[in-house]
Amino acid sequence: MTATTTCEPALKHTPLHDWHIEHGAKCCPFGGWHMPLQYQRVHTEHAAVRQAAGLFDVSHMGVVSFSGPNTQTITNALEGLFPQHLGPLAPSEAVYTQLLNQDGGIIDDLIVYQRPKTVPAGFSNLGPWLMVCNASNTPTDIAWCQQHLPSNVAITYHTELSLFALQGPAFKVILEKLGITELPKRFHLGFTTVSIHGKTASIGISRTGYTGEDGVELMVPNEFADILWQALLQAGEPNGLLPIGLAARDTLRLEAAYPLHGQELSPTITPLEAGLGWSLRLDKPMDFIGKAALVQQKEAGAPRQTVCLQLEDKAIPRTHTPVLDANGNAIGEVTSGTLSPTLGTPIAIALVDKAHAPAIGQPCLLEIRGKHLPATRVKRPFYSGF
Amino acid sequence: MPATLASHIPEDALLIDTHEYVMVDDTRVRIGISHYAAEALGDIVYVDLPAIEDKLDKGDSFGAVESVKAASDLYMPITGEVVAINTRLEEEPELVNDDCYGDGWMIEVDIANDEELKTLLTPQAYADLIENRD
Repeated sequence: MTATTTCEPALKHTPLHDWHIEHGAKCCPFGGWHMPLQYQRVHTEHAAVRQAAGLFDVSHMGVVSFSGPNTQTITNALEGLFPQHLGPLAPSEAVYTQLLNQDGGIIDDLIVYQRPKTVPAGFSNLGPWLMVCNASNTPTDIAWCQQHLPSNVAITYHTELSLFALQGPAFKVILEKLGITELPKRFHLGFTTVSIHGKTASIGISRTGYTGEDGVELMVPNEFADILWQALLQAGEPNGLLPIGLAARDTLRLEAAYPLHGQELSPTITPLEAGLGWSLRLDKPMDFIGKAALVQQKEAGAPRQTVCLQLEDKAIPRTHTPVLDANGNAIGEVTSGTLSPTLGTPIAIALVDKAHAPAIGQPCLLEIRGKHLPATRVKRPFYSGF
Repeated sequence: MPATLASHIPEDALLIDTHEYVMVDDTRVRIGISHYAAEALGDIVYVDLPAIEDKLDKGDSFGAVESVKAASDLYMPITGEVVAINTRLEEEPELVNDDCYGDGWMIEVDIANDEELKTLLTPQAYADLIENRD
């Protein structure tokens, strides 16, 4: 088999799709899109992000904004959808949060931003609040919001924007080479203007990411995407910048113990079970969908718990690998696992019965190909570049 | 599928439908996985191999190969005793991706019954089988 150069017509393409194919990317379907899985060895790409920098095309993620008669109306309406307290956020500020169903299960996890007060030309249709959603969940999220928001709050899916992530220790130096010297603080969104080969565009810069490294995510008008992508790669080449595919994105986020919807998170898993209690504001004065269920679960104690496990053996735990207590009794299953390129050992995130969950530093067993292999619960995350 | 699938495979390799090959030369018999299988698995990060002196029947699992994305069991294409394992794969599992029929071999065996070799697929028969599956 050679690198895939054809794909099903039903899959969506980002503006950089042709570039990916021309540069030898092995692509795969992901969340309804045909996305680069890797350009070269996954561990080479992974190491570039940890040691230098990596550039990701994450345009498959959905940028959705909310507009209405005034910002306060929108804020009040959104408070009923998100378990974070949005009211205290200042313009430009962002939070990690979720959309929850009535049972407190996670429909999607996402970042919600309050837009800066003023926006440059080209972003004028961006409402005062926006969210960036997982690709496969974007249609569900939009439908959910339409169903639960008052009719005076309009929802816009910004397909005119591409999204890049530039992550890793060299990201600042690379941005400086393109004249971008003012960066927003962590979990803040700003705008800047970039000129490349006589073409000028405004782009959004968010100090967020999904790799465990400092970095930014860029909102780029589609017509400027190709120019900026190539300029970044060219500027960053001496610094070791590489384009990075979804495979390394997965190993990077797993080392950082960031959850992935569909693996660690689902409509039948609550944020309390997923270890995301820190992102909940159960004491905020207004009601939100799922609040009653979460308050009740918090009082009664969540039945399950998400734990980070590390193995000594080289066998790699996979999604649904059974987790057993030290005596061999089934207590749950792995939600994601990989061979950690940074640690050199297999790692896993698992959802287990809270009553039988090992404490930090305590052992459990993973059943891989019929063998019971020892694992140790370790602190979350496995790795942090911050 | 590329028409060149069979041309990736050395002429003297014999294969089975689960993608393991046997290569017999004057001095030894080596077993590994096909280029097609290695490509399908993606970047290989770990190869779990049997112990020397393990006696395995045709069809027995002799280990597993782990890629970034998936694990796949390895099956004996023939009956035999393991006489060597490729210890280089401990540190360089990517050899299976780079050179599966050469430095990326997995185990060396003493064949119990030469007649079993006649039941295996030629490179062309293997390639035809894969192409007809897709």
